[in-house]
Amino acid sequence: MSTTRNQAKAAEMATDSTPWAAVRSGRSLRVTTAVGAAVLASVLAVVAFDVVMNDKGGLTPQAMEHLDESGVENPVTAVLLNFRSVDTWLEVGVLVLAVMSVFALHRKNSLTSSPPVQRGGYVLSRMTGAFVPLLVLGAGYLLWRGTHAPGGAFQAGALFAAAGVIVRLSGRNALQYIQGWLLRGVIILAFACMAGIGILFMTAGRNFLEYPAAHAGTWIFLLELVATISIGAGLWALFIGTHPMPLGRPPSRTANGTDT
Amino acid sequence: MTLSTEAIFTLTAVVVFCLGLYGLIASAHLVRKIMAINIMGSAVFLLFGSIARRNMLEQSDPVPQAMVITGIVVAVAATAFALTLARRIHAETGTTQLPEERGSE
Amino acid sequence: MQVIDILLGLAAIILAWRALVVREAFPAVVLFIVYGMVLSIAWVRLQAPDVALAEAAIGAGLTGALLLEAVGFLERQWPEAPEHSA
Repeated sequence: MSTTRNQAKAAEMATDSTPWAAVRSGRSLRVTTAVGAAVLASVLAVVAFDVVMNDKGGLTPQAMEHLDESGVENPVTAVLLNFRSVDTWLEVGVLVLAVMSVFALHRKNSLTSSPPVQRGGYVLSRMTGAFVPLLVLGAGYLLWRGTHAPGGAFQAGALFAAAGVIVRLSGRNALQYIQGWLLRGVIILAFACMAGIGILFMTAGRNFLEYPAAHAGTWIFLLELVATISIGAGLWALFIGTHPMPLGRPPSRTANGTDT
Repeated sequence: MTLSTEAIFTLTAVVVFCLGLYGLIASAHLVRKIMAINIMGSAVFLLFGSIARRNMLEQSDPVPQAMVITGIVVAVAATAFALTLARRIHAETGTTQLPEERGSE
Repeated sequence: MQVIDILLGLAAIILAWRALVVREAFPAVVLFIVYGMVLSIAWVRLQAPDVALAEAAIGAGLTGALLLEAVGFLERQWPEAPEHSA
C-alpha cells in the first residue's frame, strides 16, 4: 500500500476525490475538537465510573428468577427471544428496512442482477470449498447450542452471512441460482413470522409474543431457526447490495485489480 | 491500587468514544467518518457491558448483553446503508466529502 | 488477570487511535478489524461470551468486509495510478 498516497494525490488533482488522510481544514477547528473531546472524556469518565462503581441496580435477579419459565437455559437467549422479544422483532425489522434502503439507492441493480466479481484463483476457490461447509456446520451448531450455552440466532446468522460473503468474494455468483422473490421472502420471513405468531398469541388472550409456558422452548427454537435464516440472508444481502456494479464512471484499474 | 475488570473497560470505553468523536469531526473522508461512528458505537457497547458486570454477581446482567447483541446487528445494518449513501454521493458528485466541507479544502 | 485487562484496554485505545489517524485507507480498515477482535476478547473478560461471538462475527468480520469493499471500490474509481515510485 505504499502507492496509496500517490494515488490519493493523483486522484485529488484529477477527480476531486477526497484522499483518505484528509482532515477538515482549519487547525483551530481540530484543536477545539481535540480539547472538547478531552474535556468530554474526563466528564464521562467521572459519570461512568460513578455508575459502574456505586449503582448496584440491574435486572440480573429478575432475569435469573424467571429463567425456568422462559423455556431456555441461556439467560441471554431468554432475554432476546422471550423477555424482550419485541426488541428482537423490531431489530429484524430494522435489518429488512436497511436491505430495502440499500437496494433502493441503486440506479440499475436489483437484488439478483448484480454481476459476479472476477474469479479468484485456484487457492481461493479450494479454500472456499473447504470453509463454506464448515461455516454452515458451525452456524447450525451455534444455533442448536444457543438454548443452553453462548450462541444463538444472531451469531449463527452472522456465520451464514460470512459463508455467503466468502462465496461472493471467490467469484461465484450464487444469486443466479436463486429467484429474486425467494430471497426477498427469506429476508422478510422472520419479521413476518414473529408478527404473525405474536398476533396469534394475542387472539388467544395472551400478550404479543407471550409464549404458552409449556411449549416456550419449542416456540423459541422455531423462531430462532427462522431468525437465523432471515438474519443470514439479510446481512448477506447488505454485502451484495453494497458490492454492486460500479455506479457512474467505469472502473479504470481492473487490469491489476485482483484485490476484490 | 487494584482496578476491577469493569472499571478498566469503563475507562477504555470512555477514551475510545472520545477518540472516535474526534475522528468523526476531524476527518473529511466519508468512509473514515463511518468507521469513526462504528468505533464510537462499539465503545458505547463496551460501557454497557461494563455496567452489566457492576454487581460482581456470578452471572452478569443478561439484559444489557441482549441489547448489545441487538445493537451490533443494527449498527452493521446502518453501516451498510451509510456506505451505500457514501457511494451514491461519490457517483453523483465525484467526491467522498460532505458538501459543507468541500468548500474549505 | 488485571494485567491482561489493562493490556486489552490499552490495545483497544491504541488500535482505535491508529485506525483513525493512519494515512492510508487499507491499513486503517485492517486496524479497525483488529480493534474489533481485541474488543471481542474484552467481552470474554466481561463474562459475556454471547456478545463476544456477535462482536467477532458481525462487528469485526462483516463490518470490516463492508468497509474494505467500500475502500476498494472508491479507490478503483480513481484514475490511473502513477508509477510505483514510492
